Amino acid sequence: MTLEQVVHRIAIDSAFAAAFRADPEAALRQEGVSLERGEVLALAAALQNKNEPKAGFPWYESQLDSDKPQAGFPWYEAQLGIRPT
Amino acid sequence: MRQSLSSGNAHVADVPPRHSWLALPGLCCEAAGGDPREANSVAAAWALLYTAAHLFDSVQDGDPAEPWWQALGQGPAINVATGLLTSAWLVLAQLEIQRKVVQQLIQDFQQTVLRMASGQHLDLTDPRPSLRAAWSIAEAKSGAFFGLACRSGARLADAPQPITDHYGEFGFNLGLIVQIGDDLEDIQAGRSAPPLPMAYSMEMALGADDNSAQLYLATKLAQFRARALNSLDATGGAQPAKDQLADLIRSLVPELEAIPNNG
Repeated sequence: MTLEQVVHRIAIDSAFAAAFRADPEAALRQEGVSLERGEVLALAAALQNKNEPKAGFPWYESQLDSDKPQAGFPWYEAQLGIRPT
Repeated sequence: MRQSLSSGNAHVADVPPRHSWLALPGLCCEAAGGDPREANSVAAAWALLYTAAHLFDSVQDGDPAEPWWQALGQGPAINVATGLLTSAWLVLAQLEIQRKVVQQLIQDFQQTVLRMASGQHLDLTDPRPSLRAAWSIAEAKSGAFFGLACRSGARLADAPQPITDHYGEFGFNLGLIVQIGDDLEDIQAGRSAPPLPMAYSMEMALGADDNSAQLYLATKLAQFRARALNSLDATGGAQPAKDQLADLIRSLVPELEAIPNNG
């Protein structure tokens, strides 16, 4: 599945949407789908309706709080106020 | 490209320059270590190019005439657009800076016009573009146009080519964010379906009541936003101009609360 197809699946399949919200990587792995990390983060942000962590979305928050080197966007996240510079 | 050369409530005529799109060349010049005042003429040339492109686009798309050219008709409107475009070249040619930089700026402006024209050609000749084609059109029109503004500002600061390219990437992503913002606004206001969401719906064979196009656009918006901020980071540019450019990106995120997300 492409990003486009994953977005559509989320829109029409509430079970998949819930699984994605709980753990996007596991949900995608379950479907045999591999998206770029930037795509997963972007979709997670869009699903939150805002670019800040929100209660009830632990995976996204844990990713942003992680001290691990990220293939993602550390400075971008700092700009958003998600974590300190 | 429908966006005006303004952000928020500020418009070209009355804007405090640092809150307008017209500030982009100056902010990028300053962030790259130059004097933002040196970018004023380039910003003027960029504004002339925008106004000409907007006018050409309106006539070619058969949009309703704006009041000032309603009585004149399309022929004179095209003539005015040609004059505006030529004025942009004159403004650039008269810059009192290094000849080499002037030549680079003119060449960049002209290559950008060619790219925008190729996007417009696709837009005019393919009424039902694929999703890939719709993105190509958005990149060639909005992305290229905003990329030019930021690249030009960095060029005036005599930034090394890789840094200038990062500013160009920042502007390119900024242009796509602006385009997506316009499309989301159109959808939420119930206006006619814009090309990107329409192409997504066609690609996914969606029914009229399916709203996943909005979630798709919101996802792409977050992606371009991240790319823009990372490009800005890669410039290694100076604060506070860099912070102001980042603020510009922040201010562009539309009201996402209204986007259905199946949550």
